[in-house]
Amino acid sequence: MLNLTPRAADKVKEIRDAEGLAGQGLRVRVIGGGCAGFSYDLFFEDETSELDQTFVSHGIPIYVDMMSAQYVEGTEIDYVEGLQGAGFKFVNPQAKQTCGCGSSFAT
Amino acid sequence: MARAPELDWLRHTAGVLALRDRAVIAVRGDDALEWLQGQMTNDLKGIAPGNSVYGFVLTLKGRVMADAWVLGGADEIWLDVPSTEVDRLLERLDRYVIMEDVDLAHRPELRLLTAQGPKADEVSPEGWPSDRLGSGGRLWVVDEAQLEPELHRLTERCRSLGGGPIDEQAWADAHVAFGRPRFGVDFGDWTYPQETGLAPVAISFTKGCYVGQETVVMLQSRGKAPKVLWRWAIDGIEPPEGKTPIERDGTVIGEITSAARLEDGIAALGFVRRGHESGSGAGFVIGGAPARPLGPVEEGPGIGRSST
Repeated sequence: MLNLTPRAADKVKEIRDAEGLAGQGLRVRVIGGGCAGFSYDLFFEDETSELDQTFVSHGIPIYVDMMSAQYVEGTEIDYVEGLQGAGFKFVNPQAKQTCGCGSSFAT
Repeated sequence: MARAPELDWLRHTAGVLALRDRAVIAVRGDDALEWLQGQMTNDLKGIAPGNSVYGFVLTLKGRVMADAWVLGGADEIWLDVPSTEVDRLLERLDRYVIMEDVDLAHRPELRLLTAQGPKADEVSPEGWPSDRLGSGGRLWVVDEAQLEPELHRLTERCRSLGGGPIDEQAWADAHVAFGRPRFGVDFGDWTYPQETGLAPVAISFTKGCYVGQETVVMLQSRGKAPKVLWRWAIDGIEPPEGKTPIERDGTVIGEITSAARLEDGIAALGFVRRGHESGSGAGFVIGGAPARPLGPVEEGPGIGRSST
């Protein structure tokens, strides 16, 4: 299971609408690399496969492939704004270590 | 002791040898290059068949797990890595293949030959650039069955250019003479990348994230490495063993990693601890003999910064 905070869901809708991608879901993927070993990857997609897990959070369909799912189980995605920038923040209970910018993690 | 002709060949013409302590790992798949970019310290962007890039694979904590020459190919990328690290590297690299289209495989049937020296490119035009001593170099990958015939062919070609074959002892001594550290001897998983002195040829500070990068950036931006490799000349009779302490005015400030007896005396590589790099150059003792620091590896001929 993977959740968006209300603030993150609003931002996802805003971006999706701005890019004319209404109806598409949010693909959450884990890829190898990044300072701490694994990195998160987010993009819109309208296709799923039988290898995907599908969730709906605050009206946003979320697609996670079975390999990535084992690394992000229980993760909450927030959206934060600050003086040093804004972006989606992953709160992953499986991450034992994250890099300074928060975009990569180790398990 | 390295015979004079061999070091002369490496300095002025070219010397040829089989790299029997190196092995090939193949990386293939549609995502191979992009994925590998997230694993290596140097920038692989735009690497094409016939191009090569030198860099490190780091542990998660930012220490050097292996050095690698990344060789661009038409169908797959080859990594020229230390033979002793193949199993550990495959395990480490495979751990970070999630859903990417990437396949990793040890290719034990492939062997490596190299020519080093300013005329290395004239020995044979195929292969990849691979400057391993700072004086120019070329690398060839051949099937094991072709190793000896190809070594013979390249050696004869090298002789026609005024060079010749390099044996294992001369190759080891040449690293000390040129000031080019070797993986497993002068650095390894006990060293941070900047400690090796190879940062100018092995690390990109603009390429973006890779495994272990955070430690590298912190060392670069917030302070100095805990120790740094230097080149040494020693007024002794025998080359000191590895781990021989480097002393200054009775205080241990570092230790030797490798040494060689050359025609003009004993040369060595050894770490100097942070805070002891500066000074007049006087008062150093290694293995009971007076010694002179010649400068950090990073500023020396082993990475092409000055003449030997």
